[in-house]
Amino acid sequence: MELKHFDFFLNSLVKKLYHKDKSITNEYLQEGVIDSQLGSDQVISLVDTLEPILLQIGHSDLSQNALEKLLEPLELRQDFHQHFLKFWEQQRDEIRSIVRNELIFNDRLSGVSWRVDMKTNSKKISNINQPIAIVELLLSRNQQEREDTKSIMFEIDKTQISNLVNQIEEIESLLEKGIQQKN
Amino acid sequence: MSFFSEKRSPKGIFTAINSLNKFPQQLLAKLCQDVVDALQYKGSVPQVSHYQIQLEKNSIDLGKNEVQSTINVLFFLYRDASKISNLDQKQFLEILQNQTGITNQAGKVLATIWEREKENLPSLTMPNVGKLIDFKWKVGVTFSSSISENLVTPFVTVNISVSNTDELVQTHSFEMSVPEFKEFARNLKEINQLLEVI
Repeated sequence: MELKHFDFFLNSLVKKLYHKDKSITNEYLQEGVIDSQLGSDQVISLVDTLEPILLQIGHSDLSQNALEKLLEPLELRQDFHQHFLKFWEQQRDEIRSIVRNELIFNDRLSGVSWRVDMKTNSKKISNINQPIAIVELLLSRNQQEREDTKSIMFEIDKTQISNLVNQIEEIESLLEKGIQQKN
Repeated sequence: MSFFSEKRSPKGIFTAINSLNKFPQQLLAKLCQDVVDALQYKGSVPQVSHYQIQLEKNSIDLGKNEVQSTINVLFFLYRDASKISNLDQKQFLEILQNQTGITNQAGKVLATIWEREKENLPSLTMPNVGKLIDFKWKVGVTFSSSISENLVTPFVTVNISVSNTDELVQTHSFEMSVPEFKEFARNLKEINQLLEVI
């Protein structure tokens, strides 16, 4: 097996485990390494070895050191070993965010868009021609492998947005403190 | 809430129309045209100071607020009228005269501009845009889950209540991971800055 085959395995398994790509079967993997010396038994064995590691590092967000420890008993070839570490370094952020999104069971915010208008209709003449913002939030939920999205639109004026931003800043400082404590 | 179809008048309309009545005919026509152009995004919103100066030249003394209210009421009237299909010049004038204290002369000016521009004014109907009634939030940290053991990560949960045009209130709840929240925060701060500047 050459490095390019090993790389193919790593990438394909990430697609299978994290991007939920159903087309990545053992047959698919076999076909992908057809120019190698690997028999179907060896492909299966490799998948059985790599999958649990890939699952663990992603779900527990393990560090490079932790990955090293996991790889030690495998006694991989030096270049494979290095490649795996580098691969994890590159993939970690994306995988972390996939796992995090899996933890949002209900609606998640999938998009924000907005524009600013001049209000031209109101109960009070004095409110007309005040600027207001129209905000659209897209909320998505994963339902049986589909993604359902709903849109919520609302208008918001100067005072309201100012209050909202104060609350946002409160949340931001809480998150800062939380992150600092963790570190 | 419609003036031309439901005969509902916004607060302050009588005062605004009183100020409007004081305009010399030509200047009023120009103001109407400016408002209609602005509604079509052909020009910018009429400037209060400009009109104050023109009024002074005609020895008419109207304060800043009074001039602003005339601009506002014209926006209101033309926008409201554009939502109604087949509102002709005569009906426009009649309703205007019945509902407000507008003078014959001023009313005719407004109605003439309406007749000329009504095909050009887009039907400025907005989609179902509600008002933000309430915004609640909480920050939690997920210690563990069936999917991942060690992923200790904060989530922000938001609960917003929006009332739509029928005064029905709907509440929506959603969660954001930290990066998603940062993006949300960035957008809101941008809106805030923009609204402060305008």
